[in-house]
Amino acid sequence: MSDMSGLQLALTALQAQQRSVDVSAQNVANANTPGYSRETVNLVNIGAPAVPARYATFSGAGQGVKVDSVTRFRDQFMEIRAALEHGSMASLDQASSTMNSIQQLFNEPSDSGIQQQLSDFWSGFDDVANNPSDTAARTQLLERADTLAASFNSVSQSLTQQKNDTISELGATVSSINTMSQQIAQLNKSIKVNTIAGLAVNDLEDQRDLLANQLAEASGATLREGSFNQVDVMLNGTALVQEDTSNTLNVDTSGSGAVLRWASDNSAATVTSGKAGGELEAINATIPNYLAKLDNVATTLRDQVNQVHGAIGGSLAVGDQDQSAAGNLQFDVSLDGGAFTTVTIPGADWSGAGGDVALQAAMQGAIDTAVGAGNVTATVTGGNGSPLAISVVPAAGHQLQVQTTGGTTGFATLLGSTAVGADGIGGRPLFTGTDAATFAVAPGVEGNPNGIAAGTAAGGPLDSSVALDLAEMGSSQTGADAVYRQMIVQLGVDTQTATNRDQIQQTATTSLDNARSQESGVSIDEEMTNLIEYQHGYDAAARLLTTVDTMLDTLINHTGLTT
Amino acid sequence: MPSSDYRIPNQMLVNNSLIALQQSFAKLADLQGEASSLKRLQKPSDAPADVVSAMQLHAGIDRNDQYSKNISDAEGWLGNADNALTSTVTQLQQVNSLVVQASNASLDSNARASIAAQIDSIRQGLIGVANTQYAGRPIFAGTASGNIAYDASGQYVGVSAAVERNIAPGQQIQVNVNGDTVFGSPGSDVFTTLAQISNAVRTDPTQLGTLQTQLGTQTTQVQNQLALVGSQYLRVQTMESQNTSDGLTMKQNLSSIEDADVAQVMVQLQAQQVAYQAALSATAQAITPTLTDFLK
Repeated sequence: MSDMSGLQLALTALQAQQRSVDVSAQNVANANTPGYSRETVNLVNIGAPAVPARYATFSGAGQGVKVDSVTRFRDQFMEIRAALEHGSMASLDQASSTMNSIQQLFNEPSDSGIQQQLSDFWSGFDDVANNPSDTAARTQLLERADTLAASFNSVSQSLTQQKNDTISELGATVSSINTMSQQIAQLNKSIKVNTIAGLAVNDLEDQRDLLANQLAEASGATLREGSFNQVDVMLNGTALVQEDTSNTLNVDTSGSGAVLRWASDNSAATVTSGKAGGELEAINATIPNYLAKLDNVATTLRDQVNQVHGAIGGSLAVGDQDQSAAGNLQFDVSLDGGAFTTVTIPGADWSGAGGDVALQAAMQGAIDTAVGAGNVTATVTGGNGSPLAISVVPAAGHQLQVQTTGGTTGFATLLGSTAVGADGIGGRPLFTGTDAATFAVAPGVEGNPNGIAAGTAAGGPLDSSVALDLAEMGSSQTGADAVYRQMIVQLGVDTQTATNRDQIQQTATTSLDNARSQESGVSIDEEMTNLIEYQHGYDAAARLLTTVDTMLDTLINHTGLTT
Repeated sequence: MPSSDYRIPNQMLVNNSLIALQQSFAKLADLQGEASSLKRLQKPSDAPADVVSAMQLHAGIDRNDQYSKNISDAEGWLGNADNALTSTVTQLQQVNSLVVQASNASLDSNARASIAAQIDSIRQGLIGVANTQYAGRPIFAGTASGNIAYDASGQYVGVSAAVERNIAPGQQIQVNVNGDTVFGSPGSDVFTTLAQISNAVRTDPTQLGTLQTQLGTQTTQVQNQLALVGSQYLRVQTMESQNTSDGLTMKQNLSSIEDADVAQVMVQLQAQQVAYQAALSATAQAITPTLTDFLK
């Protein structure tokens, strides 16, 4: 070994330590950079030549040190698992937040939720029953019915609004998925080119891995390692990113919910995880499910109340079935809010066998004459020793109202159990609407307190038997209240489940993140220790240089000189 | 959090501390909500089954309050009917003694006219009693919409039908008695009999025997109805105490489901506050120092 080579060796040492300090500095600088993987300098000693030169000798001391590579600490398998866990996490987060906001919409238990309004509504019927002639009680009941209807409408609208908002969010998520896919494809390309050229790709890989993780979080996609340090992103078997090409997703809202489609062939993309998966679940399942449940409450309420409030019918006791002496039995009917026309049924003896058929034919014929055939069906059953049950039902989409004509008895006799308002008109439903969004107090009763039917046609002017029955309806085990409470229990359980699953996933994801962080994260203490180590290395190398320098000085300036 | 791992990077320390702080703070917020509202149940997911029991009890209490109102109303109806019928019986008995008096053959026409006038006045009084109102409605007129049950001539103008009240779950009670049931069917009612008696006293005392028997039967009928009203009244009163105790039971049940245990919540809140503060100060101390602080 020559003295000169000692200088070279010291130089390699200085350079290597300097480079190490640089890498440590880079690590410290990026201690808080998301996605940054700590790097380390791989030093190798420069040893003997692999093939000894013919006329050279090798002293065996080595030629110093060199920087072989700078590698980043990253466990690719852990990255792939992290992508999966973050995908599930994002979808469970979304599920939990959807359930929590639905839960807030219903505002239960409280003094202002739908349950309270139902209670108030039913109580209102008792107040009307106690004072059928009191307009104040009727107006109060009508107000409560309106409030209840408004609550159904507003909760339903809020749910629909939430669905629409989620669709907008999904649009934003998908556009960020597409952007990230493109960026990853570009980064893959650069990484491949640089890798082939033998250049450092650590920083590019860090950027790409961060994006891939975010993409997995947004879409629930899985990662797959490719050649030349590239990463492919797969969405349920279809490539979102393959090497340097990316695929694009579109949101299709042409149906009732939302579907993601591949831009390439317009086929449906299966997305069940990630933020997008969670949003799709909310749009297509969770929110429609609760809308349907709310609709069910509203239609149950509508049907059960209308069944009592709006049905037209009567019962002829055995002793009343011979009406041959009564002359004409008359009542007035109005179809779909039109003018009232009189229905005349000649009184006859319907007490014997076939009385039900005869009365049904007589009623059907007379009503058809009044309002036209096919609009109303009259049915009479029983008789011949038992009461005759009479019902008059308008065809679907039609509404029939009945009232008494002055001085005639047909209404009370034939349709005695029809609930009538204080204005003497019966057959009006109290509620209308096909779902919670359109639920409302029916026209004819809306704004008309006397339209509320408290009693029956046969019960006398201040009869309140209908109101009494309606007031008790809230306690029914199959009523709207019970259906509503079932929904709230389901809502509570679903929210609890979603929150718990989210928390469990949070724990799993956190521990995985910790494991990744242990592998890739920067520890400042560690870097400081390394710095000191490199500093000492540098000091020593410098010392080495000085020593060699001194030796050369001795050799050059102080050797063989005679003074 | 992992403890035996080989290296703990700074970011991990920060993240873990942050998660721990957030969890601690969320618990604190929950407890604070509970402490400030003193309600254990804030939303359905707190305890789904309990929330629904609470909703059911709320509805039950509301319904019970309404039953209580209905019961007061029923008591008004029945109480008034009871008073009216008691007074009717007394007056009919008075008529009876007047009839006995008038049957005495030694009375002259002036004396009989005076008795007849008394009977007429009692009849008018009884028509007034038969028109007794409660809350604006004549209680013997059934479901008629007018404000009298009998007109000035003693003609029944009511519509006989049951007036009922919901007084307990599934229990409707009739709170009225119809005029024609109490005073007899139109044409052969008490007022007709009284008019006939008055007429007979004036003109033909020989008819008084038959009329007296008739009056006796009608008085018995009123007494029977009075007994019926009395028993209904008793039933309503029983239901009233039942209603009160039901309401109390439901309120107690609701309280045990819904209300927070104040002592427990306050202790938990205090403990959680301490825990949160401890977490804060531990985080502050753990995150700040690195080796940098100790290098010169």
